[in-house]
Amino acid sequence: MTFLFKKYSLFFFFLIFNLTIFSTGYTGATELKKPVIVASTTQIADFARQVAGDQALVKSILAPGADPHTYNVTPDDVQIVLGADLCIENGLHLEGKNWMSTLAKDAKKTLITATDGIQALSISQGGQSIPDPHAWFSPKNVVVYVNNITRGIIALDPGNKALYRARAKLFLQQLRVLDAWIKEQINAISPQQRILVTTHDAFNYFCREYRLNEKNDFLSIAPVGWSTGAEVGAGITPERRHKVIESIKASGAPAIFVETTINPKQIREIAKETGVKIGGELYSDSMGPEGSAGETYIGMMRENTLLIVNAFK
Amino acid sequence: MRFLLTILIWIFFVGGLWGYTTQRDASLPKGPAQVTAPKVLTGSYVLEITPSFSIEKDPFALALDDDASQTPGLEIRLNGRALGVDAGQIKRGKVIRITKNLKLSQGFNEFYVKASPPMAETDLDHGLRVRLLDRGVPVVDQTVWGSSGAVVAGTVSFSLAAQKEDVHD
Repeated sequence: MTFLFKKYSLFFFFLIFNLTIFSTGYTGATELKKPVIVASTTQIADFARQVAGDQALVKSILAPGADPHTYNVTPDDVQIVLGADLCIENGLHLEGKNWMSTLAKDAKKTLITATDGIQALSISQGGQSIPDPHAWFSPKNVVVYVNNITRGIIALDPGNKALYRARAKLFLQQLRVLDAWIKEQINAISPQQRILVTTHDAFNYFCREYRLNEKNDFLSIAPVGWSTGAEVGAGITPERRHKVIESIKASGAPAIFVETTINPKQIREIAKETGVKIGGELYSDSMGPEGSAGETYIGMMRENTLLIVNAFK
Repeated sequence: MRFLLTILIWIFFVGGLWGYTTQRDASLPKGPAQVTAPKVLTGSYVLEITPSFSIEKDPFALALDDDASQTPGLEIRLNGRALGVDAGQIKRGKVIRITKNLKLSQGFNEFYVKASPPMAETDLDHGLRVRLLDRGVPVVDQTVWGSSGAVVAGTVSFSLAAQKEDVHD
């Protein structure tokens, strides 16, 4: 035994030394490991970031500008979800063919549906009643998103509950100020002039909340239905297109809008046919890229409002 | 012999490092300095809050399962501790009087007040008048303001001297 120690003394020295160093390093790495939260859309990722702050790593499956209705998952998405501690989806079939819940289910991960508890607007199409998934266009609905997300994050990491609550409270008050500000901006336009025509039916909650499109029961006017995918009541139909053209001609809408996530071909054709200008590009199903004004929810809503109000003037 | 020498060198370096870090940490303060609890004043204080608006439940408030407050839309704290207010419906101009748990300290004190105005009044500025009365005499009288429909929230800081009957000299 002594012989062995003598022969391999240097080896034992380095063994003990390295074990000491590695054990210290391992403890540090454990402390630095943050929970990983994976959101389906850029909006939900932003809400989660506002609550989680530096306590968690938040990732979005959709890149800015991507369309959640027609998105096809990739092998990279599977890997991202496999590394998640918590998954969050919008729900109400925003994620075409429920791709986010399928990803989370396959990876056996906890999934939160951020719209749980929201009183969804119903769209009647093709004899069916479909819940409108674009609920984030009303800041009051985002309160429900934030409450659901905060509950989920606290359940994941109860030790930092006070931090999550404090951040959520701050964000909700920012939403309150945003809501009051949008009302102030929209109010500067007469109700008869507030005609919002967009590429697809994403702005129902915005129109209902801020009283736009009075003659369409305060719902959005668009040639393409609630989804750009192949779901029931989705896509473009000749009837919808005709209705939009008639609405523009009857109302004298000064401008119509394209959306960042959808090919603007349809809306450009309608603009040409009716002789109205394109008011600009609205953030709809996705927020803007990093560094743009629309990279956060508040920025996106602010820019959309300014674009709409300026086109109405 | 070489084995023993290796062990000795190892002990020398590791022991030296341990000795250095122990000595370095010993010179650091052990924890926060001991603060003597401030003297609680025993006068007959009354806190009066008068809103210039009807207080309503804030639709933008965090609503987790443990967030039920006694009076929705109103939050009052004294020196970091919540003062339970059960004032029912609070209309514009109604004076809310609080005497319970009003543990004021000698020296620096701070009230935090937060109230939610109606969402329909986003075009108005709102205020919360905060008065602290000592035997009916106002010792603090400040108004916290909020604009454009935002929640009215702010702190009211003040200092209280020892009461006359508390001074024994």
